[in-house]
Amino acid sequence: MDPTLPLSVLSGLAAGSWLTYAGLRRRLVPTIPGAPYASAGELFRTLFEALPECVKLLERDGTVQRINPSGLRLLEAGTRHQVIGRPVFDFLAPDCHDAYRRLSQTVFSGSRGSMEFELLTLRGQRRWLETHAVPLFDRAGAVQALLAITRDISERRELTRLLEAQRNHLRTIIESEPECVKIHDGGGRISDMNPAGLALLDAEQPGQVLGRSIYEFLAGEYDNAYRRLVAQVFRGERASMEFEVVGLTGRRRWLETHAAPLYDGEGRVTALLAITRDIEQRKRDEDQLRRQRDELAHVCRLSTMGELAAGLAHELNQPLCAISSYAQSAQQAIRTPQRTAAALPLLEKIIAQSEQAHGIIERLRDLVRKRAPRPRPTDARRLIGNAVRFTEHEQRKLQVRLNWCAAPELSPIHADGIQIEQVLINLISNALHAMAAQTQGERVLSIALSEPGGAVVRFDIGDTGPGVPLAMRKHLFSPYFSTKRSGLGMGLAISRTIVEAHGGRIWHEGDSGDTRFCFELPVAP
Amino acid sequence: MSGQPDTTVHLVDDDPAVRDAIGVLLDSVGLGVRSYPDAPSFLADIDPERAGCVITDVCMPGMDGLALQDTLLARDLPWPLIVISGHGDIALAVEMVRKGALDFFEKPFRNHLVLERVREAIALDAARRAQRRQQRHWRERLARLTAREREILQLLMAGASNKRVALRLDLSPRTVETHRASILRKTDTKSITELAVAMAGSDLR
Repeated sequence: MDPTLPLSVLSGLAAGSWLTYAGLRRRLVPTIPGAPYASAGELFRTLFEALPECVKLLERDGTVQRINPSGLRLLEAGTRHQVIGRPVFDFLAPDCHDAYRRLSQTVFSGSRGSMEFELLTLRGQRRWLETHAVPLFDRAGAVQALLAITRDISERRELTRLLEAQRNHLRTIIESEPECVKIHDGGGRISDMNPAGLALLDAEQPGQVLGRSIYEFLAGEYDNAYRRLVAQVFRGERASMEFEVVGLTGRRRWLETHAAPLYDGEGRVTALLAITRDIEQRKRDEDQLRRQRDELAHVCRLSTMGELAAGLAHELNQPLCAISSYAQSAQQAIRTPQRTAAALPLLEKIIAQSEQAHGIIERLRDLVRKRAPRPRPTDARRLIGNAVRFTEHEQRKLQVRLNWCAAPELSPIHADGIQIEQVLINLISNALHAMAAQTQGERVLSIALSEPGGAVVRFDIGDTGPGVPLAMRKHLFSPYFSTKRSGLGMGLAISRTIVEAHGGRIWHEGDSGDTRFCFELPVAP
Repeated sequence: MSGQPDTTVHLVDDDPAVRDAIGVLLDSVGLGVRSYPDAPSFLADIDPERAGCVITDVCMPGMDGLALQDTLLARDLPWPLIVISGHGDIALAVEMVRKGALDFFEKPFRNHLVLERVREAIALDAARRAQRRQQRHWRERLARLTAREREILQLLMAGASNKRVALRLDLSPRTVETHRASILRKTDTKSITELAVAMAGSDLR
């Protein structure tokens, strides 16, 4: 065979390894600057010898016709004779033989082809190679031989294998992860989601979710909050939030998501990776806990009501008594011809007293009403006023003097008025109850409101009673702990729950003769 | 009943509406009223010469109705007491009646019943004051008598004749007769019988 092959063959070959060819040309050109090539055959020979890739010519049956030095090195052959004339199949791993036959067939029918295969070297090593094969035509246009350029891709294959292994590893982790793992872009388009995630959305296969927008599943009220989370993640931060989704079957679920940015090779955030867990049970538990707490608070309010009933009946009886008396006086006036006009101011008084009675009933109803807490800016002084009125009867009965002072400028607190009133009634009732046991000295109930700084308003309820025995102080705020014979023993425990739910704190100070229960609540923002 | 400008109803109740309602009621029949929100302020304003009565609530801050009653009794202030009690104070109110209060009413009360009782109280107070005046009057007269005259008067009022008194005291009937004339003159009475009736009426021995 003529070793001087046309340049066109080479350019055809180079399609598979163009860069190598171009690099070669760059290397060749400066050595022969501007000079015409000696001949195409010379050029081919030079290339054939110098190419870093294995170049070989094979016959139709696979016999090796020619091979360059790089090829011999690849085969770990000492001389050409160890290779030339032998069937190429000697150097191919058996499971690649069929693939080679197909390639050969392609090439000898006039087309080009490529394949990857495993090489067996003369020293018994295995190497992964990639070969690009083209037909070599004779002058008559018939395929004369198969020209193959082959390079060692063992490293690349190893790298690919490793990457593949890693990817599989990761995939396995994600697939078997019990929590939802999903990836979506800045617009919310979901590109990946694991089976756990699909289950959360009641999807049976990925196709029902992938490619769709996360916002199709989000309960509408969380759209804006979720957009803020996405923006935050695309700024490169981590973020988390709780929200509800509506699954494909229309079922709502509470989820908690932790989102992190995914970067491309150049440090740009390209997607959001979120791990999301089902917090339905937790939310239900929280809900139930809240309901139970509200229920308990309500029961305690009722129990407080029971304790205050006598006082309230007394309080309500006053305006009723006045109304009854005014009405009788008015009746009398109307019966007396020259005094009929005297009935008018009496009727006015009756109206005023009815409103007074209505006010008492309203306050009572508020206290007993079952409803969710509603914190809002509230005047602490008003709450004290109400609580003091609720307990007035007891104060009178025990002949207690009220010593009440408030800082002149007091910020409104952020609180549910009824609940704080309940705390105050509890503390005042306790103070009065303590003073019932006081035999010496004046009984004084002191109530103070102050703003000690730190954006809180402080309430102090003090009494001159015998104080809390040392052994009991530890358990004061525990449920079902009571020194009273009546009552649930929930007063202070509920008070603490209420105060803490408002973001405040409650504590006890002082000693016999000067016992104080104090609590602080945050001022309204 | 027409108003008596020289009588005063003292009204002690811590509830302003109840105080006002009772005030209106008493005023409508022309009775003078002095109202107090608590017992101490009433005690600070006391004039024993003011005729009338006291209406008081039971349950009040500072000093309750029972303590007020005790104080009035201890200071020998004899106004008849009417108790108007709120719900749940019945036991205390009964206790006050037991200690001499004229009556008690539960709130809400019937105006006419309260008025009736107030009038009774005022009448009772007037009677007591008249009796006290009588007592003072006869005490003054009796104070003019000598020891011997008082001794003789005692016996005469017990129904003894001059003769028996003379015998008992080892005096002559004449001397007894002189003493009797002196007693009648000093006490400005016409007979020992008249004197005895007057003394019995003003609760003097």
